[in-house]
Amino acid sequence: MSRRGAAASLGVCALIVAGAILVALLTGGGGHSTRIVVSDSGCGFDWVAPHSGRTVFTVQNTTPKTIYSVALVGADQSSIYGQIEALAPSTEVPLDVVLPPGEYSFLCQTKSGYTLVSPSREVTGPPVADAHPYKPVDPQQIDFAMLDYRASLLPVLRRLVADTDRLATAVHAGKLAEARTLWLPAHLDYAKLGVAYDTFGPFNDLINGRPLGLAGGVHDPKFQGFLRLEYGLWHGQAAATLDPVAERLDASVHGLLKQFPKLAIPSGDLTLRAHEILENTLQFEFTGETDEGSNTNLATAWSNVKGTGLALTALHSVLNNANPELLASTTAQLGRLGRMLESYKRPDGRWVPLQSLTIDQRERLDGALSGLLEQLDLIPDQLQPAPTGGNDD
Amino acid sequence: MTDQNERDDEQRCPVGGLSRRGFLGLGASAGVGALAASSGLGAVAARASALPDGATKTPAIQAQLQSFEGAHQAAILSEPTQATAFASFDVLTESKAELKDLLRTVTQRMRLLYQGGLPTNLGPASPTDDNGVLGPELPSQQVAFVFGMGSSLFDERFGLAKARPARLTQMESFPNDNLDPAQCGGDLSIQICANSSDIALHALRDLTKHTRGAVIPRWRLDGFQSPPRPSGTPRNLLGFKDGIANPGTADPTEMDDLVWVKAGSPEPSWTAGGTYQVARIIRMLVEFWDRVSLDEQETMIGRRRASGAPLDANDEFSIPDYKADPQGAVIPLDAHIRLANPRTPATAENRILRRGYNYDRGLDSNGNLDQGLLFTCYQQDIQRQFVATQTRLIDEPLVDYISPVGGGYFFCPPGLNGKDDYFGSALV
Repeated sequence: MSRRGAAASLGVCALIVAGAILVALLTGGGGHSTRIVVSDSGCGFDWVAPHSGRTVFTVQNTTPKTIYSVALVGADQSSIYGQIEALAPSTEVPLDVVLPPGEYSFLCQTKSGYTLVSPSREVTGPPVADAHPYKPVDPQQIDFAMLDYRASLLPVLRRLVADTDRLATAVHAGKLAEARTLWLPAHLDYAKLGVAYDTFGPFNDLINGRPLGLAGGVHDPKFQGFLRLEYGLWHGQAAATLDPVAERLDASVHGLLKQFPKLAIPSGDLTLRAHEILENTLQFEFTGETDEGSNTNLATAWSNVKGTGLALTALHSVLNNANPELLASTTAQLGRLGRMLESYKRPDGRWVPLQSLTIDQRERLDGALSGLLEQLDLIPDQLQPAPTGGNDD
Repeated sequence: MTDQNERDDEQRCPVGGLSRRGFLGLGASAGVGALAASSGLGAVAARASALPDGATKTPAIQAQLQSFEGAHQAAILSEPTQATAFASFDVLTESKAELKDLLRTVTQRMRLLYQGGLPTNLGPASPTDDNGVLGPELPSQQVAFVFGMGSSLFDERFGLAKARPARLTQMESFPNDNLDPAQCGGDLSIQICANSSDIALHALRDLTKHTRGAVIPRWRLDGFQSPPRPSGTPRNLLGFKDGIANPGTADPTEMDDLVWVKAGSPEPSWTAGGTYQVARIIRMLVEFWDRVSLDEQETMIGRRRASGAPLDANDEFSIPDYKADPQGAVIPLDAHIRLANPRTPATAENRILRRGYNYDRGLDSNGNLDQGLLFTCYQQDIQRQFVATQTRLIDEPLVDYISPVGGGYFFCPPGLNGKDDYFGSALV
């Protein structure tokens, strides 16, 4: 999964140097060179406009310095038709673009923080229907969405703490049957937080770690948290064995709540979260891979859907501006997947084991989730800020 | 694994010289088509021709364009390619309109994959349309497809019951079969044929991506065709030349009699020009087979292992003379080739067009090699042809060394009527 660098918008360029002087290195004299030469003092100075349609430019950095980004923008200076991030010294890369007729220019961001702009040129020719430019999102909007998202996680965290307290109390009292009942709601609280990859840093290993890579497997002392407790509760381990496990889990959960205000989560993570939570669900829950005996993968998946819902809700207005169709279709498909999963929740609150589903039932779930992922994966790209190599100190 | 008439070599890999007309008419969203229609083509074409290109010098997959626009899916008659990917899919869409979109998309992707060229540019705010497995530009005319529909597609979901091809059923389990339901059946079948496995797998990944959520793969099997060793018909993993005898694909009358569905009762009219596909995953118990003496192997098959000749002749293409051997003294009465094709006037109408591929997919739970045959065959009537043949083969001595574990029956619709047509257009 790519992690995008922090952004500076196109609007904040410190200086615009138009028409920087650069000796042309055009090849061939026929008129339609597609070579774009960029440097820290010039940005496609004498580029030649192609005809409308698809063109593959070759963008070449002739200097010993990295050019942070090169973008081909429309007349509005904000619609990006093609971009390259981090063009290393003395390298060249293809830039494949589809251009309708109109005015275009190249923007280059240099290491010194300048934005250079090429001369504007007119692309002429027949209309083009399949151009897909995007307008970068104002990073501040994503920051606001992140604040909303964090606010929406707080009640879930508090519920997680309360539910885990109850679970640990039951284990401590030796009431293991009750603990088996209390384990699920607490684990589902955690699953709703939508932890994907390293979101909560070391807390995730403490709270929801798996025995992968541990020499002792499920018996390794480093295996702890919900899944460790699940293993014990569903494999007949004694209360005395599980009490310290539950106690440590409870302490970790309290620690997470306490640390949460200070946990830095990069804003760019939110748009990634919109699809990565459910990527993990497909990989770990719909395969049953994480099951340690409770057979509750479908419940976990349902909670992951709810967690993805929190991310989408936080992104609602920014996505609605950028791509309302995508917002509508992902919201609808997410709701449908949630309802499909809910149909496997029994009236008594227990869940149908994944392993007991028929081929047909598995296919429907897998299809609904993987079809949704083909849409959710667009969100990070659709909501990206303007290209930049990152903060220059 | 059945044995029939003379092979014909005439269709082996003719070189195609097709223009790009095949995709010019596709809609704007069709990427490669839009590229060709746009005036940026000049720059792109210049770049394309500069590629150190194996693709344009490789002979085209034969006759594939005709399978898109012609009476039949031409890839059915093509000789097996070096690599194949066979996949069965279940349809997940819930309405006839969505099914129509799905069938259009599948057909359109097949056209694009066949045609090759630069993949669609989806712009800087989307993951790329193509997976990159074949590099920045797709080779042209290097992949072929056979598209089929299973009987389950004609259930109540889409209101297609009345249009069900008359001879299309679920695959039955024969005595000695060991079928795994997870490797059987399916609403659709797609066989991808190419001369290298990366091209076949690229196409499979493309088709699954662009249909995700609307279908889900149910089972799949990759296969390969061995080169002639040392000459003649390629060998299967029992070490025997397999597919020596087949109906003559260059003989339109024979194809009309054996392969293509004819118009008229009991078949619904849309099926004319189509054919029935039988796919069987036949595991070969190769370790056991290798512990059997050559004599016994040859007696079971009815051919010499080294040459492929029937036991009563010297040449692989000789026709066995069963009349001269009524007691089976030379070719036993229960030899595979004799049961499969007794070469009598009465059994002539049972013949099938076989298109087998070897497969190899790891180990079983005992550490034995999981190898065998991806058997496919085409016929006008599954009962009259495949089932009749397979019924004769019940309890043949070879059954101890093979184990059919999966497969399905599918109907392959006729070819497409023009560049805007799609598979199943007569149904939805």
